[in-house]
Amino acid sequence: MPHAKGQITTRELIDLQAHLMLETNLVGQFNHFARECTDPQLQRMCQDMARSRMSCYQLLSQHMNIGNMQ
Amino acid sequence: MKQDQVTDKNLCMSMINQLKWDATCLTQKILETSDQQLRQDYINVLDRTFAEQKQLYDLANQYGWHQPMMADQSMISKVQSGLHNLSNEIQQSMMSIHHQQAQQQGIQAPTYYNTMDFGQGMTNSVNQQQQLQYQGLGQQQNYNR
Repeated sequence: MPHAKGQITTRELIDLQAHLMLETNLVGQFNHFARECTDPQLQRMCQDMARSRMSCYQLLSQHMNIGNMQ
Repeated sequence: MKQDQVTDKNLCMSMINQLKWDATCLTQKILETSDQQLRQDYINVLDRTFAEQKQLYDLANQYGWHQPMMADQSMISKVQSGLHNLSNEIQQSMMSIHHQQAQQQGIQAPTYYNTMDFGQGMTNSVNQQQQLQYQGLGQQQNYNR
């Protein structure tokens, strides 16, 4: 559930921005690792986890009322 | 092939470390968040992070990429000895507080602190009840001051 407009604290806003950046980095890196690795099991894990981090990003981004990232 | 394995190992260990850092950051944010829903969402993401880190850790173990060094017996004995001393210090500290409170309240100190030791003593429900009752008496006395 997103925050009501103007109801987020400064600390929450800064933390949320930082964490959303962290999650986007993870999505990018795990996708990159999925292309680089040779082991099929690890490759599948990288792909699954990239998707999972994307889902985490979308969950948390709702609190900034910015909708889903495509 | 060997080179490929090393690369996969590096990638896997890198992912493990990144998820560990993610969990650390999430924990800090959970502790700092006022909004209940945001806090819960962070907790849900943290739970998922723990699960994913464990999955990767298990894979690293399965492939022999991660082999933690086991503690040797001399190190274990040294730590146990240190903890035993610490346990005695805690016990003495609790005894002195107990005696002090008992003197103030004019009641006999319960004997369960005498049997307190690591991993036992505080788990007995009767003892816990006694402790709660005793703390309650202490608080009551403070209110009366």
